[in-house]
Amino acid sequence: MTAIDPTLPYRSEHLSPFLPWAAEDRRLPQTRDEADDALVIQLMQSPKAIVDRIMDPTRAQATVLASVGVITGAGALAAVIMLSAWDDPQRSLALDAFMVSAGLLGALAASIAPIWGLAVLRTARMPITQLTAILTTSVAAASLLLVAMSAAPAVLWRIDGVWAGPLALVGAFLVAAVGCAVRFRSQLMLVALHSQAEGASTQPSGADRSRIQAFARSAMMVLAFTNALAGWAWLALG
Amino acid sequence: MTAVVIIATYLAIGGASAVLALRREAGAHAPARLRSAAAGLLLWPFTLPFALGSRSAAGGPTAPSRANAETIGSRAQRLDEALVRARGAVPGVDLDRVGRMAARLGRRLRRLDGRLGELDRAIDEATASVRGPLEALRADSQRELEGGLRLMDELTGKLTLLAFADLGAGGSELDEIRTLLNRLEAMACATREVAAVST
Repeated sequence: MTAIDPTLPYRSEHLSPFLPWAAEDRRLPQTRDEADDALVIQLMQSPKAIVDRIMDPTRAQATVLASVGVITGAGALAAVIMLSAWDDPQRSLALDAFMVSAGLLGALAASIAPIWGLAVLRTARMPITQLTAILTTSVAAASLLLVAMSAAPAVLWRIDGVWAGPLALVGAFLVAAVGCAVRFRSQLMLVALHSQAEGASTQPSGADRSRIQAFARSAMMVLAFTNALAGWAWLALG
Repeated sequence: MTAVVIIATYLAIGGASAVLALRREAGAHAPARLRSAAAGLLLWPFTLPFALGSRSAAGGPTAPSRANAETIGSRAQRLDEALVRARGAVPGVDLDRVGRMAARLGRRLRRLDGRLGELDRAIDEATASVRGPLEALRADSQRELEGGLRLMDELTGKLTLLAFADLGAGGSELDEIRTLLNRLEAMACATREVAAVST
């Protein structure tokens, strides 16, 4: 990325906000930053770019596999940060990290087929490849959120292990879940728009919207259920 | 015992998925094939849908339209940059009309591109009797799109020339830009008439 385009005339006085300026003068030639195209950035930033990736058949599978990688890494990292608060010499952090990310992936994998079945029942049938990609990228975004928030429970647990710690832990997971749901819904809407005729409308019609929302809610219930099963397995085994 | 059965089942399905992936990537390099086979073996819940779906069915007609959209976007951006630069270099000249026409041209080309995509889809589904006229229409739209892109390039070139020409010598470039603008307007009028006739 180049900071200053040498071919542009230097006209600082016209760019001052207190002087009259034309809209075009303020518009510098845009240099695209290649880092903006990284999957991790797009996961946090723009559902639109993710949907573009998903709808491109040459990139869809790579996106899914990369998201699986993101989920594994982010889940392990979040587990290490959160569990480091307990200082238990009996536990091995590496094993815990593996169990948590394997549990997350297992829960996600187990939820795909039931959610696809739900989509059929809700008369919102979609190609299972798209559904897989949308689910995986939403969960990857949520796991990145979880990593970002995982320091708070770790610190609060040391300060107050009775109330603040557990509440922060539950809160972090709740925020990540809400983020996942929002992401999932907005990506579904974008994919629905993508499938409509060119230039038909800027958003799906009322009936379609409510159908998509109902489907997104029930899909999140399935995902929550499989995640709870995975958490229970982790408690039972670990 | 239960765990062994579960893991064996998982790996069995994974093995089948890996074989599928290997057969599907028959033309690829050895490392790429190995990688997709490993992904199929261990992560089959995520790769199996892709392995089972046919690649050709999903990716036919949308691909060229996508490339077109990208071309139009990059050309329009280059034209914008040239416009900003020319405005900075020649402050006295009114380039607003050029900017308006350029924006309109970009919009029109995008619309044309969308139409091309729709036509492609229609051709795919059409019966043999309609296919001929549809393909003629498609060729017309394609030609118009290419003409518009060429016009855009020409305008960009002229504007760049204007930006780097001295103020005194800029007169001939300005004249040429005026001619180009007239051509643009003529094109816009022509398409409007076509739209009026067809509706």
